[in-house]
Amino acid sequence: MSDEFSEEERARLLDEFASTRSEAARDAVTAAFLPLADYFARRYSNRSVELDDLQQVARLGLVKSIDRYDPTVGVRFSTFAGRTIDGELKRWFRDKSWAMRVPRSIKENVREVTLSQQKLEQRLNAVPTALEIAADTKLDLALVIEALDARSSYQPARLDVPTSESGSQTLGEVLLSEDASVDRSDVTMMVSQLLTTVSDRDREIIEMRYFEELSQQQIADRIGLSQMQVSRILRKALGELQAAMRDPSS
Amino acid sequence: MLQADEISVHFPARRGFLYLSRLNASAIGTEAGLNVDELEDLRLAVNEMVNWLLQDAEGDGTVTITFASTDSGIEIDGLRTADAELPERQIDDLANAVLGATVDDHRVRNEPAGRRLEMRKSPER
Repeated sequence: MSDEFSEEERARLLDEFASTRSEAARDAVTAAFLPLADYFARRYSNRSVELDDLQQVARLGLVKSIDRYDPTVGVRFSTFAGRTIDGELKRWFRDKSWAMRVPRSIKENVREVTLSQQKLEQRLNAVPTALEIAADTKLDLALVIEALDARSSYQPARLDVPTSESGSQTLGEVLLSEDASVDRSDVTMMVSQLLTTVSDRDREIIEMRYFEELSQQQIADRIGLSQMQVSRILRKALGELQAAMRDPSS
Repeated sequence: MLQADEISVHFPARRGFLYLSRLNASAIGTEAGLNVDELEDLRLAVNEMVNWLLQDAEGDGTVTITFASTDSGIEIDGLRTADAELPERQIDDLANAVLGATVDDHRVRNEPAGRRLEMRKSPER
């Protein structure tokens, strides 16, 4: 945290903003906690993105957390802000990869649902319900709910496990292929279920590799193993997943 | 026996099934008249609920979540059971704050039958 501000000073600034909600007070709190935002931005800076971009995202998260923070709840601001900033950064990464990871049909529904929501909010002067959006878009209610969930929640498509014993095409290729004939949302769901069959540590490593797209060396550094050990764990875990896919009863 | 307006989801105590809870919450929340912002809050609350229920010995036992659409909104009852006795757990401050901000009220209980979290949310309009 910045040396320019003492703990007492930061607490005083938070109290001042809580009581005045003024822009000046918000700016002062933002300045006091900028190092916290920058710390979280740096945590993600080993990826192929500019640190400046990450800092902007993290600082936006900081401002959101300042606006939402309620000091009467009893949670430390730095704890609350840290989780908000981290969430903002993860959401940013998710949105960057969302265009590739979500099936086209759901993407189209999300777009339609979002446009309808904006239109209905103006017309009704209130936030619409999913039923109202379904009536407006003529989409089935289940598709509206699916689109709302896809828009807001994190559903990673995860693996490059071969889809058949011949192994000519991976799940990742199927999921990303524009002309895939399979229902990709079902495949994604199946893979998510299959991931529950491996150990916690293996699942964490697979997710770091295939969702966070860390290199084997980065994973090794993060969890304190050698790159060779990570490579072996990935190979073994993917083998178990392949076996589970071939034998759904197992 | 379930009431006519109740849906119960029963799944192994693993985080991989969290999406089932979210989708059901959205569907029953819609039935209960929540708008899309309130549904988003409800999904957040369900995330916190399941994460709390799954603390300790993940993979052991089951989670049962019952969603009820009532005249005043939606009621959700989550119960985690396990073969081994689950240690008593209180909900942490931040999760408590998230639940406090996203649902009208919530209550956690450590019971002989297992770990339980109940919550309720009503539409604003």
